[in-house]
Amino acid sequence: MKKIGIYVHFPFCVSKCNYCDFNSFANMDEYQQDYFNALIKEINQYSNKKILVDSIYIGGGTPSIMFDGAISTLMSELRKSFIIDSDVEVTIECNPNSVTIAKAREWKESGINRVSVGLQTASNNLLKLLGRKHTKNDYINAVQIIKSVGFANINTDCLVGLPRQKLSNVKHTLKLVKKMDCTHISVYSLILEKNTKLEELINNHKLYLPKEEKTIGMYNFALQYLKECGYDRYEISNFAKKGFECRHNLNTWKMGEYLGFGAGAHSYFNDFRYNNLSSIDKYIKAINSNISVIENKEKITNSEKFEETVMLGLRTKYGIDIDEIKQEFKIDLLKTKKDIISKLIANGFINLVYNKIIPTNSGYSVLNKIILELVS
Amino acid sequence: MSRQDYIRNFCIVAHIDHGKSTLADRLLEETNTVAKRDLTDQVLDSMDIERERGITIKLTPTTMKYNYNGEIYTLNLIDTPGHVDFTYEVSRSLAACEGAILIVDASQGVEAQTLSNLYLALENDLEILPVINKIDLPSADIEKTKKEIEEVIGLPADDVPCISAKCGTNINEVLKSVVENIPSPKGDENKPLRALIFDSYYDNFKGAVCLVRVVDGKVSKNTKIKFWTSGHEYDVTEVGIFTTKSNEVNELMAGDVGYICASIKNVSETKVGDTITTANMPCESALPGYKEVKPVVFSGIFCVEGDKYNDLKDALEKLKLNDASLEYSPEVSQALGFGFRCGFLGLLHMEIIQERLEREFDLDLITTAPTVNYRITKTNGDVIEISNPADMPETQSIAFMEEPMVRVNIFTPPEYVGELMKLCQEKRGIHQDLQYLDASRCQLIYKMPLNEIIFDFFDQMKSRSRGYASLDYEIIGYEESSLVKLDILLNGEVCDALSLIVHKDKAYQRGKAIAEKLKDVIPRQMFEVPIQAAIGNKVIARETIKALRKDVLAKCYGGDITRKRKLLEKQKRGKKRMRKIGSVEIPSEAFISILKID
Repeated sequence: MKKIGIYVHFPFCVSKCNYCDFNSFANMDEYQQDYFNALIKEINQYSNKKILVDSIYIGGGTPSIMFDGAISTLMSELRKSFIIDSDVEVTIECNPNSVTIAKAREWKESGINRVSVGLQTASNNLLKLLGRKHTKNDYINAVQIIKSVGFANINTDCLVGLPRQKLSNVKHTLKLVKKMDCTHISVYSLILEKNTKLEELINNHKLYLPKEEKTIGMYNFALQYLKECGYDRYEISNFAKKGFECRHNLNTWKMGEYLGFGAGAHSYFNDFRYNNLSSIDKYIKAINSNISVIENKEKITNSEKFEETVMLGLRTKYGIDIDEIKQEFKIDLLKTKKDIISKLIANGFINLVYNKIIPTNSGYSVLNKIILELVS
Repeated sequence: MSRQDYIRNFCIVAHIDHGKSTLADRLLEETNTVAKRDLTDQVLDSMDIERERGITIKLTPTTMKYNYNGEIYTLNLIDTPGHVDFTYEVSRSLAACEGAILIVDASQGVEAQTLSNLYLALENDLEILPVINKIDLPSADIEKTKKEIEEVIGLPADDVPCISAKCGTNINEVLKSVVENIPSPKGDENKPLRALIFDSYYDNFKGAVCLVRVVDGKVSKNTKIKFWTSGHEYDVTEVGIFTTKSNEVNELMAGDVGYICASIKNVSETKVGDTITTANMPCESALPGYKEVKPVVFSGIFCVEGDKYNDLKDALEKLKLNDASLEYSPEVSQALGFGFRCGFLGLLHMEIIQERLEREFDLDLITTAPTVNYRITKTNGDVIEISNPADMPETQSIAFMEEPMVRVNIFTPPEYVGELMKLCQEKRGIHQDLQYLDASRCQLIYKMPLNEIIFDFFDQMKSRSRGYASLDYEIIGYEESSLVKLDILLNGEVCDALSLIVHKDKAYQRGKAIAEKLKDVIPRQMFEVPIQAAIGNKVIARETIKALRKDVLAKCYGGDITRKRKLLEKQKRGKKRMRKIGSVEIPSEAFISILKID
């Protein structure tokens, strides 16, 4: 039986953060019900009882601002349409200021077992600067509520490299997350995206990004601190206590298949990568007129698949398996990239363990370059 | 009246953009040489590049018939290139004429090349007919331009035709003036043949075609001709004249302008300025003024993709067929692989060749910084000339070095004089003269190393004068100079393609600027890469390319892998265009980027 992950997208937000270029919209809440109906219709179209789902990720936007009952209906519709593994991992993303006891109970009762909280930073000043509407205390409250209803698996998202951010702030943030006893922490570097408010602020010299060296310093601190606290870097930007690695994300890095539902959602299925229309309005209209919502669809060729296998596999501590690659793509990296691999090992960028190529911490910092060397 | 009394041989000289080609087109139209509908703007400029830039590089003569008072006159218009790089070609074209139309732009007045071309014309004893063009422009000032012609050029301006070549105004007056004022040729048809080559080009079917002015004697099909310089003999296969295309005729005689074909394999045989005579009965002496043209600017040309070397070789061979002044020899660079060291008549010539290679032959090129020919006297007394920094001998073996100097002539409105003097000073110029020609025009004369002219001088001059200044220069000889070889080291290894010969006092500034620029254009590597600028073993500037990139730590939203793969594909394409120096990969753009720094 085919085993896949499912991603469900809720593009609604209370406000748009300054740095965000993702498919999310503020002040569109009047569409919530229509959107939700369309979403369920899309899920039902894919109904297939020969597919086993072992991870579900409800992301956004901000799924936690969906109307009451939306999440439990969604879960029961997913159960109707697919075979859901008894051991399934179900994650919901939330914002610290939209978590209530009632909501958390609804999530828990509908089968969700992992909550991801977007903190980004524990400094209220920086949160304001980013255009985020919550405070540090909102985060503490949210995690307490989540825990109180019985969730044991909690992730917190953090950002480094923010304008005006100092190393002390990163220390403070990570210490708080540790204190809240999260099982999983993601640490990303802020990337300035085009057409965001932040880009405008920086282009107009209203704000400045820290120097790259400083950002790297913050990241290096995170690496060391999280290791001391018992969080394992199992993926380039993700850290988890033993047994709490995110199955849904690992599935993506391991070239596992996934179906994405909702506006702008991405799928990888039967060797096709495709994504839905990103506009809420167009998505609803297309579903209601029985028109395909797929905006782009691309068949992944064998050589592209090889490249993706290398590119994504190297992000994790499991690395890429030379024997598997040899079998699937008839490419023997130990022969074709012999010199490069030995150079990478000699310089401490990768380890070769049981015929698996696994990047070291210094390898992670130049990962794009390593990938390029191995695929070109 | 004799046959020659009905011939007028003339050319048009002007500063770039003063409307020379447009006037030429109007003359063809007015004499019905071409129908108006056949004119694709500026018929005489046959190359695309020329048309795009609005400047003429290649000369194309045209024979027109003009009815003056009921008599038919033959007017031979010899178009001349309007750029300083081609001064010698201009002088030979002028030598083929008895008169010159000197165009002055009514809105711009007299410019640097107006004067330099005028002097060339006067040297060749030509009758000068000034013409004021662009009178249709709102900014045209005819009275002021007339005053300039009288004061700066020194010619009477009362009866000067005032025209608009663009609108076709008063074109007939120009033709009338040509017939009335330009002397007819005074050759002797019965003397042995003497024909001046003022240009040549290569034709796939006919071989090298000589464009000639017959001074004495006559030439026809089957005449056995001899080239004075080489002494080689050929049988003429065809003679003809140009209307807009070539038209075979039976015979070219004294006073005529036309072409000669003789199954000649390439244009290096048909040297501009050389004399053609008959093999059986040669003339007593050659026509005066022949000189061998030597390239003055040199640069390495390589293909971005290393396996295109043979394509580049073929392309250069083809260009050389038509351009005797282009010189090239194979060059091997550690950084750039196999390519060619090329010599050019000047910067424009260099640009034209590079552009033609890229456009007509679809090559993707890397060119190294242009350099000049240096003369080195070694401690053992040997004298060598080098035009490639890689050939510079060890410092210990050099007694002294000399570099070519030029006399620079800049015309500018007075308000920019200060800035331009500063620029010339920065470029090691030695002030010679400053003249206020009238209220709106100054002439600045500097002596300056050619080395400084070829490095960003023209662009700087234009930007500091808001485009108003114009430039002209001539090489005046060699002078001793404190020159050093500046090397650029990447990760401790010298990148030969980035080496430069610079003046000692400029080395630090240039080295620092290059290192900074390279830091920006060379992408992150797996290691920290030090960039050093050094003279010998002494490092004078240093920058570092950091290894780490924070973008590897970006969040990957919702399984959007396509975006990631697109990025990888872009990097892969970039990698193909990279050159490797030791362990450092350099994009081809890096080599080009350093050509444009102050």
